[in-house]
Amino acid sequence: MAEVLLKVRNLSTLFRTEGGVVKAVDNISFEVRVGETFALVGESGCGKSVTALSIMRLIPTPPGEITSGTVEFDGVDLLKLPGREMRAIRGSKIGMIFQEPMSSLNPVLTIQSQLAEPLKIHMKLSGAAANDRAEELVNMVGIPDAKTRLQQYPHELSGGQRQRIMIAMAMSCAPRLLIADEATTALDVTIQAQILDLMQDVTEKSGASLLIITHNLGIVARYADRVAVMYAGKLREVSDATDLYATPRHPYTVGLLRSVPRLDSDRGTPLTPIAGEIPDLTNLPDGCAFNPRCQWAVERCFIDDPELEEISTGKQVACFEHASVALNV
Amino acid sequence: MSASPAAPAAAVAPAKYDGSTPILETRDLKVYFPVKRGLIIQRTVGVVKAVDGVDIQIKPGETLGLVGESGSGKTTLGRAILGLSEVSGGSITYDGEDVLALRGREMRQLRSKIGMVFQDPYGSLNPRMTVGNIVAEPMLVHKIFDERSKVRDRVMELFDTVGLNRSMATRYPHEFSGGQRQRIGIARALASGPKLLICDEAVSALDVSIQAQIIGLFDRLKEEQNLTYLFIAHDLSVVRHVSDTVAVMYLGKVVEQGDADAIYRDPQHPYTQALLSAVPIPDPAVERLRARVVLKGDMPSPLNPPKGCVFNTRCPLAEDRCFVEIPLPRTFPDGRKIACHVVSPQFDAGTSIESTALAQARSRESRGERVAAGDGTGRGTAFEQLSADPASQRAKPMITRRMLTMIVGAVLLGVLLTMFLFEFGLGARGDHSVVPAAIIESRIDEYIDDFDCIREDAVVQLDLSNESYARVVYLRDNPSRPGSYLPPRVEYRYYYAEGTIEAIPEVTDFCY
Repeated sequence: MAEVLLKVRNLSTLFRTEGGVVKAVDNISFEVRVGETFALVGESGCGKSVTALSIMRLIPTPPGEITSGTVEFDGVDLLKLPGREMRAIRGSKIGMIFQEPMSSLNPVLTIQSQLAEPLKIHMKLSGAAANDRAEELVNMVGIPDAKTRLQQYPHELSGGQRQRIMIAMAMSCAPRLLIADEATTALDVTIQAQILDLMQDVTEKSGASLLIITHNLGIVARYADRVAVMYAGKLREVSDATDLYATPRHPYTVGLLRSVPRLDSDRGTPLTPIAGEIPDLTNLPDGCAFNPRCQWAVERCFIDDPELEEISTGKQVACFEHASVALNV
Repeated sequence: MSASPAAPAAAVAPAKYDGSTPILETRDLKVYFPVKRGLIIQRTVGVVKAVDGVDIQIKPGETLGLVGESGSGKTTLGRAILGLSEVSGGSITYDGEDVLALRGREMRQLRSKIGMVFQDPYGSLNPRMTVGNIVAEPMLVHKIFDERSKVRDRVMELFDTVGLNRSMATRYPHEFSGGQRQRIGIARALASGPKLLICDEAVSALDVSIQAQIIGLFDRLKEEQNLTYLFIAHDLSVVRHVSDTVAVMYLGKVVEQGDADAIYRDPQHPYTQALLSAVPIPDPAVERLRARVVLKGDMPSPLNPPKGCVFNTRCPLAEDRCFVEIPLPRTFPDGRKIACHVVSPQFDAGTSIESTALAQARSRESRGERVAAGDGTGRGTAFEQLSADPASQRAKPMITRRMLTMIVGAVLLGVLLTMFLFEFGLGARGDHSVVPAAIIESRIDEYIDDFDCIREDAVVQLDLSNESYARVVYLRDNPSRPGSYLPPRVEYRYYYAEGTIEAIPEVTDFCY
């Protein structure tokens, strides 16, 4: 087994809102190994983005607060680092790409100055050296005519090109971990494929790990080595990607896989939606949060909340009834 | 048993719709938006051809899936049909009426016969009206009932139809979740009793588990009320699920349209191919075996579209004439319309297998390109050519889908049994690092015919360069450059095991 790069243990993040306390991330543990692509998958409001922001310590406080847990990156607990040291890690050892590149790029600075900035700060490069490196990076992410592009402003680029610039920026200081939070959701499919291929390519070449946060099970199938499925603030199943699709063991995972229309299924193949709605995070049901929608739920599921447990090598499930799920799938 | 799987579909399709005229038809439809400059005196400095010469047809009870990326003009087309965008040219016929000739009261009447469901369930519902009133409004506007009590009864019925609790009618939109709001939007669209529903990205904003519920609702409505849909979406998997026919748009033009099964199984236009191959399939076992076409670059600006074919800036097959001549949609033997110079006009399907096979065999022989059988010396060179004499292979009876499933099932059962035997020491366990190429070839040969997605003119190549598997690629001739091939469209990996190869380890009959 490869060495562990990022080890999240018992992480909890909550938000104090007018409607009550929201446990956006509730006691989750997982690890990302060196060089692997790890996917965090779930529907809107399940806490996957808050997980990423918590790892980067970018949770706005108040209303948010990381209440417990450790985030060990390369052996160092990020949650205990002083602000200055954390800033040295953001952007240099951990790169992050967000969904909307336009709001992550500064509209009044040229691409060159934005690309060169982290190089000057983190790598202590001189102005000229940083500019040369910026040009290399733009070439690396496959944008033609790098010299002209560097002098342009973000609004002059297309959505796909802006996201390429974000990748160049995130990869500029050779990070060991790249976090992509719904980085391709706003893009058209053909561009989405380009960007994800590029991300995988650059991380593979540099040996960095990739943490993909997405709601798209197709993307997970195409790119991820391992997957964690998140629902209502908790991890419900952690598994090898191939395994997750072949032998899903959590009722929610089963439900998700049966709800997704597939390109290769026959026309009119009925979808089996998950009954009911995603619960309100301020008012979760007792016991397992999935119980109102679960066809396997037994009495115990309405009283106790199952913890993630390892049921076979590399496969963790938080469900009391995973054995009957296995029989019925 | 002598017809290809595609042929019956082509033969049945026209018969099924004989006598039923399209409920909606557009001919050479154009929607141009002038681009204006200047503060007081506005000059027209250019024109955006959002929809540029589009012909579509929807038969009653059918669903046409309109797909394309952002900026392709699919939403504008939907709006033009409802009279919400000004049409610059061409015609729209709905239920025999010329829509563009309608004015005033007649136009409003037409709108009562076409329902529309929008993407954004938050933005399209008035926050100050109760949802009961929202659903009742179209009936009041179109004066469908004389008495208010009848309207109320109908609202309750509609609530039942879309799966909302009747008691919710007095609440306001903000009290509902996204999925419920979309149900309200659908109830409103159905209120005036339309025959056609235009769904513009109607499920795109929903989470997958909720999306499946709404798709199920659309399916049920189609069956119960015999609705016809124009389903506009960028999500090709969703469109696959709901559509009978599909039209693919790119930069204002329809590049390929026809039977949904045919298009998804065997896309012909290079853009359709790229678009489909860009969509990941949520199953790693299938996904990781797919050979993909990744397009370079972005869609050009609609203000300044390329000369000739609009796709030429990104097309992997573009030839000289694609940069000069605009390709007109041509009708192909299976009824599909494709606007591309490069797609070969005789891409089979409609013609009989025997004649096609013979023609292909002849053309191959005439080029002196008989594909030699593997020499059996083991895995030396990568990409040795494997026996694929089209005449001998394609003269065999073709296999229907059901038979195919049975065969694959039987083979898999056999494999399982064999594995079981090996597991219990009945088979020879040993070093299987070297598998004689002859064995591989003979085994692979058996399966080539079993896949209906492999085209008649496919060239089969065997790649033995990998340690753990034999890779079989099905190539096809590049029509624009004789002697060269298009990128692999089907690829199978046969993993080595126990002195031979696994029969069909990861079977996919998905076609690229």
